[in-house]
Amino acid sequence: MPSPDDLRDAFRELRAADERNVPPFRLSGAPAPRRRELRIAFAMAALLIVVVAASILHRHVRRPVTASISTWKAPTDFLLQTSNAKLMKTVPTFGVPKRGTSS
Amino acid sequence: MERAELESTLETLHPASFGWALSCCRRDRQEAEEVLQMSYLKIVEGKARFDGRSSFKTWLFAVIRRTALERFRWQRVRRIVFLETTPPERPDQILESSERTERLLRALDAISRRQREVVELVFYHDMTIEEAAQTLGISIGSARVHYERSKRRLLAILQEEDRIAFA
Repeated sequence: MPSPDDLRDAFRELRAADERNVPPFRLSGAPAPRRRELRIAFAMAALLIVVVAASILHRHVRRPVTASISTWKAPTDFLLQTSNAKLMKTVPTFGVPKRGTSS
Repeated sequence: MERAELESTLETLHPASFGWALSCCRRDRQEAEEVLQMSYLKIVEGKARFDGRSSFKTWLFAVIRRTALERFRWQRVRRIVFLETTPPERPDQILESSERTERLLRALDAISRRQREVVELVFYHDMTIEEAAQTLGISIGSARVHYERSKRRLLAILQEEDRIAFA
């Protein structure tokens, strides 16, 4: 039955195996520019996706119709219409006889 | 820290760093070398700065882990974007490995990443639980829970393997 000490020994063995194959220490500057380029490319791609998504959304979202106050009509306007409403909108003339009537 | 001093410290810690990089890269030697190189460059170029809040080794291990995770995420995105096939599960690249090491690696594969990290920092790198917590950026309590669970789980897996082997 394994014990915590066995576990520790197994890890020590693993470390010893790894240490036998450690690559030599080096500091080369090669990967840095590649990474920078990749980062820039990734940022550009993300930006492009955001712009395209925003333009699609902008096109599809319907703007609410805003009516001008001068052209606005109440929806219950028709209730105010009476049969003689014309009289209120025309100016009566006096002294001119109507055609077909005798003076 | 001066560049010469920095390089000298990195060189001293290089074997341990490589071991940790191997662990962060699921034992892929080539990946580990790449991650280690990128981490060293980050440090030397000043993109990652040591602020003295922990030991240099703890900080260096945190940089290596973060770099490995970034690289892993980037590879995953690249695989999706370019429809690349997934790499083989875990290239077994230990040149001389005993039966016990093989069994340990199999058991490590069966536990969660966080549990594996904590137990490796403690048993492989002889860190304290506090140092392991600092490296992983988690609380000491959380690290302690992961440590206990992973130890118990590893022992259970190894015991089960023993039972099967001797049955």
